[in-house]
Amino acid sequence: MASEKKVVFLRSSDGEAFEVSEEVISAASVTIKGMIDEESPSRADTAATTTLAIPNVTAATLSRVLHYVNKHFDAAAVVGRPDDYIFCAPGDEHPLARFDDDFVDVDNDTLIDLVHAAEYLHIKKLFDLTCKAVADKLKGRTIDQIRETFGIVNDYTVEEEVEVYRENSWAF
Amino acid sequence: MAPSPPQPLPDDLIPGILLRLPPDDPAGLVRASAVCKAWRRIISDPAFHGRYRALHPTAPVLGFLHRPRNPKLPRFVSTTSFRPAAADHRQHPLDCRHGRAIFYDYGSLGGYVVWDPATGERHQVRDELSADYLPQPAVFCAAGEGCDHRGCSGGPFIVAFAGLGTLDLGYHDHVVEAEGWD
Repeated sequence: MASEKKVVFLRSSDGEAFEVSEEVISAASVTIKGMIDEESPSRADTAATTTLAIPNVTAATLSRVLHYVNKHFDAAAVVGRPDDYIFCAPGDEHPLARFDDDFVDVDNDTLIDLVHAAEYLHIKKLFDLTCKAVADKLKGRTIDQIRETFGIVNDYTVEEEVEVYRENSWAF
Repeated sequence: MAPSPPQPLPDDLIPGILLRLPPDDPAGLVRASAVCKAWRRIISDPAFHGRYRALHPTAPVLGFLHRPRNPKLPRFVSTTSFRPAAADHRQHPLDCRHGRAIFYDYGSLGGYVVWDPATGERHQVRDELSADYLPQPAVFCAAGEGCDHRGCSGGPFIVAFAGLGTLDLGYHDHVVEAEGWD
């Protein structure tokens, strides 16, 4: 009967609605799957589409998140499922490795918004990817550069800082 | 045009980010602990260590021990950014297992020394064996079967000696130490 694919609408904190396949977003986001499951009994026999409020995520971030979700979780759109490494020849990259690299090649603020959204929506793969991208930004920077890049205040006293450096002098 | 000040990293996201610092660059974690006190607290937390090991189940090879002909060369060769504290040149590496190494020290300490490269701790092992055979020592973690040897640094260990006697050609083995370092 209901052969058409069900869709849901997600409304961002700034009021913009985005359409996404219910199946795809349920596979991706634990949080949204929970919301849909809660809604299900009341909409079982109605044709009305569901709109879910996502109060913690802006339209700009939500649109990026859905771009990722559609790439990674829509089985029909992916050549070989992303987790099926068996389809890759030895030495091949993960089929979406380049997409992922481009996806996180953004400024810090955008990246941190994505980490937040991935955490709130409980999309584990996206959380892993974006946290790792932030961690990669720490590499090859001096301590002062890390503080500057991420707006961190140095709360060590001079003596404490000397002690930290002395304890682990090999790493500096 | 002056760049706008960066958005500060939200506190609740910091552990997730620090957990993803790569294990093959141990200096990265140590350097991150120097950024501010909060980061140091997170990284020093034993619960963080457990989560870090769970996320990176394959332990990286930090380096290897060798016995160079040139006595001035270091015994430990790093293959990552890790640099152990004070590996004495006057030591002869004999065995290495479970994150610990045993040396024969022909310098100031004299006798067998168990060394933990991660902490730099050294522990002299009493040499109560007769001198008429040349024993080969082996060092083991003593934490028991469930230990994956990724968090047992500083814990109890066992040193076992086995060798052939020069007179009786019998087999000797002798467990010398089983104790904690604390």
